[in-house]
Amino acid sequence: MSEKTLPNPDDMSFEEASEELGAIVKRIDAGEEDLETMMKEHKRGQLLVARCKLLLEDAQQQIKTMEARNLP
Amino acid sequence: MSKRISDALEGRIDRIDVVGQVNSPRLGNHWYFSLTDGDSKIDCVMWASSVSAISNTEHCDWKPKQGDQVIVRGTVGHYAKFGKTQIVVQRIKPVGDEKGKLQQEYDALLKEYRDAGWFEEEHKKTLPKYPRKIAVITSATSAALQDVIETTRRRMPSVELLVVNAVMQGDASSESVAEAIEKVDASAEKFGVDAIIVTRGGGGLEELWSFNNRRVVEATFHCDTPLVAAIGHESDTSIIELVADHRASTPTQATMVLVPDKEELLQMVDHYSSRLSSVLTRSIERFCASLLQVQQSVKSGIASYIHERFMLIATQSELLASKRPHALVQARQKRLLTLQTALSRVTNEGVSARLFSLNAFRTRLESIGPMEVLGRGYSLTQDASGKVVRTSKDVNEGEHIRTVLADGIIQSKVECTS
Repeated sequence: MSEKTLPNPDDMSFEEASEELGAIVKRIDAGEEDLETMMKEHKRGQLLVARCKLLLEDAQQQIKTMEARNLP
Repeated sequence: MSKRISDALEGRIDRIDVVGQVNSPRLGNHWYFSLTDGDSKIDCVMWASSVSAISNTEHCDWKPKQGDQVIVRGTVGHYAKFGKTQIVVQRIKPVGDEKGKLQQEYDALLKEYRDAGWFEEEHKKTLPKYPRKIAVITSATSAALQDVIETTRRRMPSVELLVVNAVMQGDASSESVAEAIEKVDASAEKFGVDAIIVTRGGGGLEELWSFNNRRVVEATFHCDTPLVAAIGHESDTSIIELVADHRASTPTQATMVLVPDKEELLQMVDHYSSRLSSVLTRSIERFCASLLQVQQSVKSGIASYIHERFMLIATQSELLASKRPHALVQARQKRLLTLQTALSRVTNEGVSARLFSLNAFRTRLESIGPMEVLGRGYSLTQDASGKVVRTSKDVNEGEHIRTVLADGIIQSKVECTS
């Protein structure tokens, strides 16, 4: 994992963020990383979770807005 | 007056054959008798010249007797002196024997051809519906021919008749008729003949005999052109009529069978024409009605099509607006939750794994440390400065020492060393 190549979570789409999150889980689960790396990955994972949550909340808000607009 | 009757009779009636029963014969040089058929009677005279001629025939020894059935041939004359009409007989012969013989021969031929299957329906050819040309085999001077011509002219003048003159009676008749049939049949295509009529008027078995002749019957059977035979009266049946493709009772009937009636055809055409118009009219009406129906269907079809589309769009819109985005978000939420849980789990597991390893190391370390040895009953001795006493020389008498045990420390004073 090279920090330089990692994109900022705020610029990531839901799919990109969730894909990277999945990869992190896989790597930690393999148990081949040292503790420090593992904790760094965990921290990055938390950031990605927060990004995904934000995007989902935003989507739900948009749906509610559309439904309200379509009401007779 | 008698003279006028005589002239009228002799001019009108040519030679005739009459069959009858002999009555009151007076046979001298000249023969006088009368002939009856039960209902009527006619006087006959046979002059000596004709009587003597009998001696040259097969009946040379025969003389007519009262009641004999005879056939006479002669002319009709009116004897002015007595005002009576009589037949002047030229030839006379008994009928009974001749007729019986011919009848037997006829019956035998009939059986033979019937047994051979020549009268079967399978051999009958279909008569042409609209013949263009018909060959009429008959005597050119016969009344039968006149009937055929008249009937054709009346029914369909456009039908051509090819008159083939043949001998229709007597010894030469069989060959003449058979030859006529064969020749016409052979040239039918060339002359465009579509059918043949063989016909003659009535007569006795003897006169019609040639139409039972093998030559004639076989020519008729092998004739490829459809042939209609009308020989004699309806009550007479010649074998040619049974072998022919169609039997007619009279020459007129034979013609009617072949020649379509112009009037009937015109009526038929009129009938079909009017039927065609009404069928066409009905068809057009039906077509118009169905067109109107189609038009209405198209109209209502388009309306309902548009309505259906509206409904579909509404449903889809509803689906898009509500269910699908929700489902997508829900799926993503679920996925995120799974990942989040997994992240915590795997990280915790990673930490736990390391803690477990650490504990293991510590246990191992402890097992090989001094405390473990002390636990087994050994002890460690230190001098006052805390230095480990390894030999007895490391301490002096009176010095304080510390003995470290597994569960505590003992302070003691050295009394002696050795």
